[in-house]
Amino acid sequence: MDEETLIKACVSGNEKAQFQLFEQFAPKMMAVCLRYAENREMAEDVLQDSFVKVFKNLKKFTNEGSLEGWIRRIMVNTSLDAIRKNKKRKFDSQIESVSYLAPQNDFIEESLMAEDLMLIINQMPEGYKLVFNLYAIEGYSHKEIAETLGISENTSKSQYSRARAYLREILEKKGIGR
Amino acid sequence: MEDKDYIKELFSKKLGNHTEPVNPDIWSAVKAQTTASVSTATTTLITKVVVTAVSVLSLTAGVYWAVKKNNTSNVSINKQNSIPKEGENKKVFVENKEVKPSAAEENEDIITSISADEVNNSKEENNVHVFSDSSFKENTNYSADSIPLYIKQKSTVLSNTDSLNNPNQNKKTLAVENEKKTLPEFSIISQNDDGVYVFSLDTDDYDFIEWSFGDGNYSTQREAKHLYNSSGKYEVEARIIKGDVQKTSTVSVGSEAVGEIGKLPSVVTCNNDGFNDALVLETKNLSDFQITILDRSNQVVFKSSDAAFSWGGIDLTGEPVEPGNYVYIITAVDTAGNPINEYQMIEVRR
Repeated sequence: MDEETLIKACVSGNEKAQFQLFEQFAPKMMAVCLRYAENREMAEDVLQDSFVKVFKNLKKFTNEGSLEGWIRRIMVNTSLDAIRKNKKRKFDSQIESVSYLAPQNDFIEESLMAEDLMLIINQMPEGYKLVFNLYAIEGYSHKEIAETLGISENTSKSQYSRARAYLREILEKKGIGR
Repeated sequence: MEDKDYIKELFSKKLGNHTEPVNPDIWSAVKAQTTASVSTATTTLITKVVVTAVSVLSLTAGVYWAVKKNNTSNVSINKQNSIPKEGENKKVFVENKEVKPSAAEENEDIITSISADEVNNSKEENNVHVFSDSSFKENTNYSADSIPLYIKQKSTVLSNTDSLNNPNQNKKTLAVENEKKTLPEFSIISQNDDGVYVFSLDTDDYDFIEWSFGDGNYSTQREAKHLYNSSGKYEVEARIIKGDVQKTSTVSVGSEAVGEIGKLPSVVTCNNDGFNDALVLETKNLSDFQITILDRSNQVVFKSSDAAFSWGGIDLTGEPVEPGNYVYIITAVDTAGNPINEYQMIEVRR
């Protein structure tokens, strides 16, 4: 089944198709949600909410841009919503307040490395984490980030550069920096 | 600035397509919520809800299996009770509209509140899960029943091609004049061609023929082909018309329905992975049925007189049985009165 047929089947309420779509994207989107969420439970909640939105709004999906990109955007937006909703946390946390708890595993295997990077991201301060996720991995521009998060473009840039500094330090500690 | 690219590259390369195991419960929850909104809109009947719940369950099992296959998750499937709780926790997303004026347009609609109504609905649906074991079986039976429908259509197609192949025959008959007022005796020739019955007459001297296959199906082909949906004894009647005279003849085909007990499973894996989780049999044309499952010390662990039973490795006290070898004994009588006795070893795995 190609993507267009799959989408049509999903829109018409075909459960098999919906499940296929879920199965196809859920693991990747779980990874997206985990990068934003505080913990796995929250990520699962977000994933669930997002997929409900995906199925409810799939009929509005136009074939401009990829389906994956569209779904990913819903995941990201829902994640951001959840963060706003769940926490009254101050957006800018200080780097000093962060403990470095990333495990001291060896970075040998490629797959292991992804897991460790996930862990490092999850232990980043909230402010850096969001900007870093959006910019480096989701590929948003600073302008988009500024709009999405309701911060200034300069804040986004400086948060990102702090995030980089933070990550560089962590990576060097682990011996995989340059 | 050289490591700016390095860090971005590293993370986007490693994590851009990174996947994580998905809790199989999420699909059931999504399904429940998605379906809930549909059923409120269309006010569907309870039966549909049941069917949905059945699918949800089977699909859940599917996800569970898929996840398990990837060797990534040990989450138990038996967490359906937690779903309504999750439903209650659903957040309302309305406020985000103000917080995020710049959100992408698509989100304006995406950020809709999930009404209490829907949450309740999804709860109801989740409750239906409890019954889904038995209804799942009904579902399977249903699909098994629908197979003959296809075959029926196929037989019609066969007959149709027949007429296309013999257009001349009809012309020839029309040419014959209606001289005789009574029609001579005729008889039906029936052949069983690999399950498909082919009926024809030993006479060609008629204008029109109508076959009644005895199972509610009809044909007007000179040479009629028919495949019966189920075995049994059928009275086939041919009525021929020539001019204004008609005559009938009958023949009986087939034999009394023979009872069948399909494949006898020798292993059952009661681990809720969606495959062989329970012992079920596909039986046909039985008038009496009794199954007894014994453990190695010949203690009865299960007994049923319903051929549509399903045994998921639970003993008479409701406890799961130990993995190991068991035997089951089936004593049945088919609708023609023939006894069927079966004895089969079965291994229970978990």
